[in-house]
Order: sequence, then C-alpha cells, then structure tokens
Amino acid sequence: MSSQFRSMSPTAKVYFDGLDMNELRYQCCMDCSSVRHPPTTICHKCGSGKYLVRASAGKGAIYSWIIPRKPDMPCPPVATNQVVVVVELDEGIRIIGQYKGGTNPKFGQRVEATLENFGDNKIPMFRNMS
Amino acid sequence: MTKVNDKTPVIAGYGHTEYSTKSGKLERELAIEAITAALADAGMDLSDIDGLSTFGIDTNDPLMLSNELGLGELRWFSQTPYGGGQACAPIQDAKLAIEAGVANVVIVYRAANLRSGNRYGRGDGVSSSDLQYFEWPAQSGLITPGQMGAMWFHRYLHDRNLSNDDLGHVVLASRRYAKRNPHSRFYEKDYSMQEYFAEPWVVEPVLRLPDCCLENDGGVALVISRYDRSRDGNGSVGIASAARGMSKGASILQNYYSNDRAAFPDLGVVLRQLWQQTGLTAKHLDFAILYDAFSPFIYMGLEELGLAQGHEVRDFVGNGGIDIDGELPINPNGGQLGEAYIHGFNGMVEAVKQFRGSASSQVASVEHALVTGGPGLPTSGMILQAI
Repeated sequence: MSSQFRSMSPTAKVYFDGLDMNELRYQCCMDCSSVRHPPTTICHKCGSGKYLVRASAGKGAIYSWIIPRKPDMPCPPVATNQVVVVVELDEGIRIIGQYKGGTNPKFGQRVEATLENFGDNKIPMFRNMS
Repeated sequence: MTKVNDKTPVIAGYGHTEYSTKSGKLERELAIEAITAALADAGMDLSDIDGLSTFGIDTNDPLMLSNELGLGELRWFSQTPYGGGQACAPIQDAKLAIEAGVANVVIVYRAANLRSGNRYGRGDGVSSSDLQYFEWPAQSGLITPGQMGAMWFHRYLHDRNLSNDDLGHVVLASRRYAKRNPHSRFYEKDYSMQEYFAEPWVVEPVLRLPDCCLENDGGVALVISRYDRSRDGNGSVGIASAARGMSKGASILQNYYSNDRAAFPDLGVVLRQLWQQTGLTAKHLDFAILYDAFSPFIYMGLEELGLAQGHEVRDFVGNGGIDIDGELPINPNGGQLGEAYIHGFNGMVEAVKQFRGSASSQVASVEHALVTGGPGLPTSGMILQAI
C-alpha cells in the first residue's frame, strides 16, 4: 500500500509487511535476545545480523504524548488536535502512534493498540487498557 | 590574545542580508548579497576565493555560485548533510581545508527564503530523501520539526520534573536581549511572563509560539581565511577548534527510542572533541551561541555543558545565569527565538560582533566562545578565540 510518508527503505519493510498482516512487528536479535525498533540490519548491542521477527501483543505504557495545535493543518495527514503518543510496549520497544483514550493522557498510562488507518497509513491506535 | 601562525584559520569577515518575512529575492540573490558584503568586510574580493562550503539543503550549490559570480579556480567545495545540525560543519570543512594547505580563503554561507518559501513550520522540510528518518513520526501525523521534537522534549521535561511552566524563563531571557537588538522584530519591546502564558500552543503541552524559533528569509556569509591572508587580525576571530558529532543510535529529533539518551548525546560527542582539542572547559567560555530552534534546547544545552543538572537548569536561567552579567551569557543577540533563524548562521555573526566589541548587548571581556549547530540530530560546534 503506497503512502505519502513511506520511504523505500528495505529495512523498514520488516515493520510495514507486518501492518499488512495486522501485526505490530519488531526485531529480536538471535544472538543476544535484545529487541529493537525502528528496524535495523545489525543489532546495536552485539553486532549480529541474525534476528527473529516477532509480533507485539500491543500492550504497554505511555512514554510521552503531545497534541499538535498550530498551524491548523488538514487532519489527516497532520495530527492536528489529536493526541500523538510514544508507547513503551511490554516487549521492551517504543513505538509512535495515536491515543484514542480521551483528552487527558498520562505518562505511564497502561494502553493497548489496534491497527487503524490515519489517512493513508495504518498506525497503532492506543486506548486505555480495560 | 592567542598566538597564531600563518595557516591559523580565522573568520576574516561577515556579511548578511536583511532578515525579513518576505525578502522578495531569489535565494541566489540572498547568497550573492551576503557573500559580497562579507568580502567587503574582510577587505577581499571575488578573486581571493578558492573554496565554498554550505549545507546540502541550500539551493545555492558551489557550482551554481561559481558560475553566477564568475569565480576563479576552486580547490575546496562541499555541502554538509543534516541541515541545521551541521551549522558549524561548513566552517570545520573550511578550517580543515586551510590547515591542510588545500585552500586559502573559503566562503561559508547559508541563504534561504525560510519564511516566504518552503516553511519548516508548515511541514515543507520533510523531503523524500530524508523520508527514511521522518516516516515514523510523519505517518502518525507529525510533520514539522516542532511536532516531532516536542514528543522528545515532553519526556525530557517530565524526567526533570519540569513542564512548559518552566520554559518561559528561556523566552524571557531571549527577549531581554532582543529588546536591545535593532535587527530583531522585538527591538525596544518589553515582554512579560504573563504574556508568555497567554501565547497559543503550537504543540500542547510543550511548545507555545515563542518557544519556537522565528521563520524568516535571509542570507549570511562568512569569510574563513588563513591568518596571513586576513588583514593582520584586524576584526578577525580565531577558530580554535571545530567538530561534528553523531552519537550511537542517533536520530533526527526522535531521541525517545532508547533510555541512555542524555540531554544531547550528539552535542556531547562534539563538546568532548572541542574540549580535548583546546584544553578548555565550559568554565572558560565568555559567552555561547547555542542553537535555539526551540526553547528546551537551552536547558538541554546547559545540562550537556555541565553547568546545571536536572531541574536546576530552570533556576540557572530564571536567576539570570544566561543574561549579559550572568555566569554564561547565551545568545546575546536574542538567538533564533529572538533575532532571526538562518539555520545557525546569524548566531555566528553575533559571535564575530562580540569579539569585535560591536554587539548590541556586549559581553565585557571576550577571549573564548562556543557556537553550536542544531542539537537533537547529528550536530556540530566550534570554539572561537580572540587573536
């Protein structure tokens, strides 16, 4: 699926192929078990080029959040007046997405993701964990 | 005064256009105007130039300028990556070329219609070549540097027990300087914390409008020359050291992917080189030009310089620590929050004015100064010294 904001980076394909399968994919190093996102060819911790691709359960805690207000640009593609978050997933990686749990996001709030469209792009949409 | 030898690289002159919201000029006209003024300031002419260096994103590439200006043979020409992060990199290129004996007089420049043309604040900065870096925030709807950076700034503030409530001190400090600067749109204007808190959010709850640098059109050029080609130190400023730096796991304004992200790890890579090359520390600086695209950069810079830690940075600024009579005057022209935003280059002009004694808010005694490029991405810096 093409998108205004998607690069042709072959490394990023690890993640984008997952979106097509409704999965939030990340890399796990086969030699030292460390995890990483965004995808890279080589493990930063041990230098190995061997990795497994895992699918996250999509659960984690808000690491940071913001709400773009000005300029008042068309939404989508700009997240004007939307809560955009970085969530630290329980698997240990951090990922950017949007928050649909209301207008009062909190650092550390437990959330879980579904993959939904924002404009052309499928992104993690987080809601408060029930 | 510092000993120089024939090949010591110096800033021999500077030139700049008006900083405006609508130049009405082509970007090449801005570059030519700035370069012409810089040569006049240095007492040189076009035939002296044998090198050019600018940003990769500058539309005035060296070949085009050579053709436009009718330059002679060039032995150095470069364009550096990563935009404003590499603000000091063209100067480092010029310094290395001169020290290596490759070139004698290198013009470094930046000229762009950053307000009437492509505006970063409107997302015009997301180019297809950099999409591999920007796609992560962009797909979730963040397309300006302010939107991308604010995600990281919010976490930084949270970790230090700070919030936007504390950023006003940075803005007020810049406005105190801008009030005395005739080049600033805030010249002779007062500004209060009350006014700051009434300003609209650009990115809630982190950046209000004055927390973001200005957007304007303009051009700046510096003549970097070997010492024995300059006018025997008259108005020249020594370049004691210059460096560029990229930390492990660096990013473009997305310093939230790993925990060991200091305040500005890329700036740390630069500063360690500058201190090591000169034997100086932050305590030796008489003033600093810290690249202030956003107000949190000043707090982060103070931490990286080791002058204050954690929430102390708020008190350092709030108590006048970066004012003209403070422990370390920072951006005495009002910075890019208060004077203009020419991607770090107008701050270099201010640095030269300080060494010449012609600044609008003049530091009393000037021996050494730090200038940095944009932190939060691969960055750069230099230490200037009196000669």
